[in-house]
Amino acid sequence: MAEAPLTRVTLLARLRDPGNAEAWQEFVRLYGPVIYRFARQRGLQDADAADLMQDVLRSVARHVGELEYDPRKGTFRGWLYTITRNKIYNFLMAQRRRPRASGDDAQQERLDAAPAREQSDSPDAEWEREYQRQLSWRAMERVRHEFQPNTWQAFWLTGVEGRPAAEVGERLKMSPGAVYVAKCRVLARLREEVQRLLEEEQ
Amino acid sequence: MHSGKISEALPAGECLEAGELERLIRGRLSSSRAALAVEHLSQCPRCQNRLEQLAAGSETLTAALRELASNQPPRHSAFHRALQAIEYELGMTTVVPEKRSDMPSDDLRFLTPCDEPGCLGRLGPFRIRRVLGRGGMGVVFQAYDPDLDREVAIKIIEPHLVGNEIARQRFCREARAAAAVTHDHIVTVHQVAEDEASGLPYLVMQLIQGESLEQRLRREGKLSVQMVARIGMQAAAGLAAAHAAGLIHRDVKPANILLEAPHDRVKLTDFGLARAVEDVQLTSSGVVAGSPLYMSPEQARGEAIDFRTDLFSLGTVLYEAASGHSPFAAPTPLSVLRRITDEEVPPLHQLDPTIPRELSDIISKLMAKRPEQRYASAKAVAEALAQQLARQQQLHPLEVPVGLNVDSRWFSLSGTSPAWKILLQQGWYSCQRLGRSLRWTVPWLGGAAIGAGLVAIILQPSHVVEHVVEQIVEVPQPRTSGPAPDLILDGRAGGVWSLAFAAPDRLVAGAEDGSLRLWDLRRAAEAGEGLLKTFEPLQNGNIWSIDVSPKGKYMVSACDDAAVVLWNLHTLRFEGLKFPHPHSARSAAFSPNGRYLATGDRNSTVRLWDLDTQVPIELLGHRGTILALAFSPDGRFLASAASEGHILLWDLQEEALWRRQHLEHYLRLAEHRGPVYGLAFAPDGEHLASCGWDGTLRLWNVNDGTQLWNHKAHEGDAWGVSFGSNGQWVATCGADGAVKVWKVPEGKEIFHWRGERGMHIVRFGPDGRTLAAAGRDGMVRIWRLPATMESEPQPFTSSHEPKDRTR
Repeated sequence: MAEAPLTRVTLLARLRDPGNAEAWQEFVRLYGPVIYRFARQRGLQDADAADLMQDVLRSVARHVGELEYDPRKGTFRGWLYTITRNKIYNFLMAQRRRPRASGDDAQQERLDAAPAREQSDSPDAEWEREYQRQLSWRAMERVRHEFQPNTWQAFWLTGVEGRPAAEVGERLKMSPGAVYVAKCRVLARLREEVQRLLEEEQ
Repeated sequence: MHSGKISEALPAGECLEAGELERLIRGRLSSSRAALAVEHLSQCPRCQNRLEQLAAGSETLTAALRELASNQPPRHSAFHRALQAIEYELGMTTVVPEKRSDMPSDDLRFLTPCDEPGCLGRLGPFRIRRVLGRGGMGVVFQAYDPDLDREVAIKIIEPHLVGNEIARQRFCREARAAAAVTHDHIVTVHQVAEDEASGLPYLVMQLIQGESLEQRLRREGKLSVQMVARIGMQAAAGLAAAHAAGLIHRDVKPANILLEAPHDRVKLTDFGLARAVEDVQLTSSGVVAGSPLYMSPEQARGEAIDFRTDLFSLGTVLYEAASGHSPFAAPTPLSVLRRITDEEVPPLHQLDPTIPRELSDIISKLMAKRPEQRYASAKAVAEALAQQLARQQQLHPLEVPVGLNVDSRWFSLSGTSPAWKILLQQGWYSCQRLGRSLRWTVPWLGGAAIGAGLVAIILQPSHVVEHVVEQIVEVPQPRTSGPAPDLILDGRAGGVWSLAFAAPDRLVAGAEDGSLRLWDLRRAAEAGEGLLKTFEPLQNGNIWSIDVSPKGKYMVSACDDAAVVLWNLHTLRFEGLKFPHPHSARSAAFSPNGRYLATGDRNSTVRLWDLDTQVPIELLGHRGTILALAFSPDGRFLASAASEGHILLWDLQEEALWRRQHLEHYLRLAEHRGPVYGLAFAPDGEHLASCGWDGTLRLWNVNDGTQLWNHKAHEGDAWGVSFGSNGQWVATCGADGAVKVWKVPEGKEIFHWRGERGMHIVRFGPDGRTLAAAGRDGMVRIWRLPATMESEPQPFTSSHEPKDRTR
């Protein structure tokens, strides 16, 4: 009567399930910011980066069903990186061809340089770093509701804002030791959630 | 919370061991030990350091958060809007009814600044997380409620709609009246409040995951016939509840019909708001704004309206959903109004021959120009649509919304019978007309059942028409019979779904109105008055489940709201702690050592909370509403049961919990047909009793999952089961109004009481002799059973199981 344990359903598989609202929401919230930031770093203006983000996500939605996912050929986020990179390249090329009213030389220089940097096929370090950061952020957004407000504050003020435990303890009416424990409980939970998000993708 | 042993004191100044630090993080030190450890940590930088390294491994996590926290795109960045828009466009986001349009940044102007991460600003106590949408009446936000620790939707009414003090007061009054209605198919309004700073009224509502019918139609054009009927049935059931409370929606349209993921359950929103705003608008400008596409003729003419205006609007919505176009669309609002009042709409079956005549007729009747030609009530509409679905074999009895009477002979049990499906596909369902009509009422996923009865349609796996057999277990109208209760407690608060003993003589009952009552049974018996305390509703909706911690200090209650609430039975107050779920909570149970709390919700999730840390582990494996949870007496196993009909057994090894590893169930018991409602472990911990929609009481061996026996215990749903402390008595109760006690392992019925209304819950007291049961009529009945009970031997007979059971 016992059955094989459920295999964890990957994010990609869930995205393919047409009615899966949660998966798309998760996908947009995880990758949207990564794409936006990455595009900004590549020199796109705010509005252009925002458009490009939409464009990439839309493209994923359109093609996710066709994607033959083979882990040996690379990760899902590698695939996403390729789409993002290509779209940025196309955008910048189009920009270059268009006569620019802006006299921002530095900007122009970045634009000229950007495509040239786009040689490698593997996700580059900046993309990876943005992804890792956003993963932590998403995990933060996801686990936050599990904690009492005081516990969370203790974590945020010491761990993220870097305030001394003694000061935070005073503010939250907790002993410094309790502040450390609160902080570390949240951290441990965060680490676990990051791990879970990572596993879900692979 | 109830940490067991007291460890020896920590030598002052001595550093903590690695294992101890780990346990501290996981909240697995006894509280005395933890207190000492915390004290030491306050002094010792070395241990502080070690603790942090243990928790985070490295600095990258906090560094990433710090980096992003200080580097979020500015509030006016195009990023925010673009992200929301794409989430929306991918069509799968959290949904609010209105059309999304450009979001001017001054929408946020009335928020007070807030520097917490992920917070756009504050409104009263709420932290605004993001803009969900924007409509004619105002902006809708997703927000976090720190007091109740839950996500909510907040709708702020446009300032120009409520420009002056009188208008504001009026608006709040109307909106509060509308908020009083709660129903499965209506979005719950938690609160109507006014922002002190801006004076703007706002509504705090249940946050629904899914999309609106408007979005669905935009995405899919038109919907299947079954989907149209299903949406119509559920929306009409919601309207019926509001109409019964004297409320008219007045603005039924696709944008106000939300489809909750994952099962597209209909949730009507903006109840009575049209009225509230309209009144104010008329007073101020004399003009009513908004699209008239779904107005009724009487509304279009500005005549007096009654509830039947909602029926017309619903008809128009269903017409559009079935045909893919809005029947009265026209270039200008005025010409729309003219079409509504003057033009007859062609019946749907003429436009599209694949639409059944019956559905087409229902929709045409809804859209009759004169109110008196429409249905007499929204309930009648819901019933007609349910009937239509049932006749198409597209309706499982459990899908029928609360309170509807549907001719049961059409119900499909197709979920369990492939033969049935084959017959259907071949169009042979007409041969089912053998059955006698039997009116009954069934719950929507465990909602309140009023009538009693069960129809079991048994099919031979054969294609020969003559072999189709229909068996009907008809339930006579029962009167009270059997041993009279020794005590009857009347909470006068509606049906009771939950009971728990807090001590041998203390009993708590949770009622439909969300209140909880604590009784002293001895005082009740001696003085006729034993009510110790009434806990007023803290949340909206029925209390589905309650449990008391092993030492009787704490009580948890699960209600339709999205959190399980912790009460202190010593101070008789809300303890200030909630255990949140993303969906309505439906079940809760304490572990025998008081260390863990298991909670279950309507969306397949069981959470196992460590009470010290209040951090949950999620147990995933069900698909449906988690209806029952039970710990084995030694706390080693947890059993969970859900509406998909499965019971899962989880092995709660300390090691796994400690490491917060992903837990898998070790057994799946899938013999029940339909939802499993009740679970009870035997005192020996070796056996588990279960009961469910199929009316059976089953006994299982929890070590290997063997089903020891299976007996038809009740006619209709068997709602509750409880094991007596002697290990020999099992009590059950059901929709047939009966409370029974069975002797195990013989399986002999030794006690039988029957009332007129369904009985939802039965519990043995800790003494094993006190039996409490309660149900639809709101009375709690108590029997003091004799030490031994014998009656005419009634050994278990074979149950009414279909032969082609497929699991």
